[in-house]
Amino acid sequence: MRACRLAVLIVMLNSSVFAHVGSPNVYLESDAGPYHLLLSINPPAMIPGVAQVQARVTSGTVNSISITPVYVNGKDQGLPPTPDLMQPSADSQWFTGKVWLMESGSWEVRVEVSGPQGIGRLAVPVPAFARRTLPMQKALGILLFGLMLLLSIGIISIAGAAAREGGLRGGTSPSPQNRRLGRLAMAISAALVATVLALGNWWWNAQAADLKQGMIYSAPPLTVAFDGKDQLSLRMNENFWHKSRKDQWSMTLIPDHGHLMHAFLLRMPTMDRFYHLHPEQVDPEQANDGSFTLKLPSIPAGKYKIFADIVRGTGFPETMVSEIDLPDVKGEAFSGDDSGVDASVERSSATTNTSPVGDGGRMVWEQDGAALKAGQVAWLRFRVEDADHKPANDLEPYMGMAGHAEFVKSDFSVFAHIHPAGSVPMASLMIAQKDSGLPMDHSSMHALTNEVSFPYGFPQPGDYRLFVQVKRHGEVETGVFDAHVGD
Amino acid sequence: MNISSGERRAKFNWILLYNGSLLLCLLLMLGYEYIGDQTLMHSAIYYRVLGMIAPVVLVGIARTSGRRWAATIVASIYTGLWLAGNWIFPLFPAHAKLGPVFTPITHMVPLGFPVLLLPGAIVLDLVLNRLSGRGDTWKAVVAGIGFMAANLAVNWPFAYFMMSPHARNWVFAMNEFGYSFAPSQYHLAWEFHPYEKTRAEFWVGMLIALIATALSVRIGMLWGDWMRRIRR
Repeated sequence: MRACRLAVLIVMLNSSVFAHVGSPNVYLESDAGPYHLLLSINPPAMIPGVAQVQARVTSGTVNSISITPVYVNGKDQGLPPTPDLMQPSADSQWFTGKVWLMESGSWEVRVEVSGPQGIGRLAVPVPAFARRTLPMQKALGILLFGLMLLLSIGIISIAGAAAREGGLRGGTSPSPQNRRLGRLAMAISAALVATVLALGNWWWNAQAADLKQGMIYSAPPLTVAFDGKDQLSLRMNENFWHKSRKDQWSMTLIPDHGHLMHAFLLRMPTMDRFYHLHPEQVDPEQANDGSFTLKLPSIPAGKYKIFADIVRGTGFPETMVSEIDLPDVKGEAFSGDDSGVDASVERSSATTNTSPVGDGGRMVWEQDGAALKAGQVAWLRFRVEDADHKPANDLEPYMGMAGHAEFVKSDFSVFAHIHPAGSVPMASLMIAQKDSGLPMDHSSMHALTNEVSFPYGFPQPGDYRLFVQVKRHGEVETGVFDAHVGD
Repeated sequence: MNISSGERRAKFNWILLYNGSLLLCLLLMLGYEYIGDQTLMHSAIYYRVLGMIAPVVLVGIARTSGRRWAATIVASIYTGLWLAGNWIFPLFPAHAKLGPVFTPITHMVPLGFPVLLLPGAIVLDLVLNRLSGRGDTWKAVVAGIGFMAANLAVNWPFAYFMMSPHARNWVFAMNEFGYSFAPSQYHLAWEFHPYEKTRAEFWVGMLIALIATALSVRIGMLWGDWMRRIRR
């Protein structure tokens, strides 16, 4: 047993996760100079660990792509290691590669694309943190256990043989006294070996427990309180993971789409109400202050799940999760960027691919017939039509983007906040681009049409509800769709 | 070796000495955290670790070998191997594959200058071969004191040199840093960092170092005597 536990390898890796829950993969659709790419980065579940990088060339001819991981701590972050070339597919439309992420925190993967049109550059922000402990492979465990036994038995028998007949001339047989001495030596060395193994096991477990506490990420605990009228107070607390990293990188909050925090309220268990709200910091002078207040709109009573997105000063995004029971609240109408939708079955035709939005218009999910599969990246395209089912070409930017989408798994174990450019928070992307000396990419904002598309790969099979938000005539319109994702 | 004689025995003896020096390299590598860190050369921990590790091998091998300067030879081979590694590895190009890179790497980074063990080894040889009578325990005490005195006499002043800009060249490798070391931290490698926080702790540490060294010598003697008796 002891040896079995000894054989359990505990490598702690940090994996990069976004301001999402249960959806660690990073997707970014962007221009790299004259080339257009869709990048998927699969961060490791343990740190240090290997992030898998995949690039799909969507326009332009590309000869080669190199990738370099750079740690972003907002301080003395050093130089990138030598770039690695990605492996192209036969038609040079797909490239795959990997990079090592050595620390928990914010990383950027610098991508350099070269082809006939010259060199294009891009930086993808990748948050890295350990999600779990990697167990040792069973076969390797058995092999190492066998080798340990061999070594232990070997050392005991060597000690026995040395004591028994080491001093005898070749050919002479050991006397009973020699044999007794040999047995004594074997007993002592067996006891020593057992002690060493026991101490080793104890030391290993102590180290593993320490590492686990220090490495495995958890979002900051969020406490939410209702004032009895129409206001929530949200307080971000600190946990060990964050406390122990305060000195290494900036924990300051920075605005994403003009807001320090994006809070999403979903009524449990069926997600028949959805609100996208923006809490205000209580003391804006204090950049690190974790106290926020939220004026609620009118919302019906129920138990609400709260997902709160923030971005740290290094571009490290986090999503805190909480729950609260609320009575019927009489609040004010939506203002600013706040929005919400009644997603009850009677109102939305979630079983079909259309959802009514605004006054008489509708949103259509353009599914190409292919079933959604977990782990496969695809563009989810939505078309907005007016009351006459004509293309609505009057979309306006909503918080600087053509659209926002929130994908939530039915058991709330997955929450992802996606934009047309992918899963990367804009604030993180800006930091990465600036850090790499690149201009901010606004390709997703070029000429809004009546269509918005979101590159995303669902992390797990199951049922998801998709909330797709666009802005027209100064009003936010939210389409609600249900999706089944297969294995 | 024990049952051979003449030229054959001399050959086996060299193999023994060489193996002894490899064992010494291995054990010193285990203690590298302390004795590979020149900033600890004015701390008791440095002499504690060195005193525990080196004498047992030097004395054990010397006793088995029976050669007059056996410990000195073993320490010389160790020094030669370590220096060769230090000077040869940097000739090979290398670059960091892991980030963040705080120091750009162009070639393999050497381990650092070896411990100056030779004077201590010479003292051990002298005491063990020249001091007669009074038994092994007495010899171990004298050898322990002598080994530590020689170490201090050489390594303490040598530490000043290692901290100085004169050691920042390919010979002494004090300008060689791994990729994870930021230039803003280089100064940390060029100044002493006392391991013991108070003077009292330091002197207690030095006393422990002395006792450990003498014990290490005595254990080396027992081990060497036993190895000398091996007949097959």
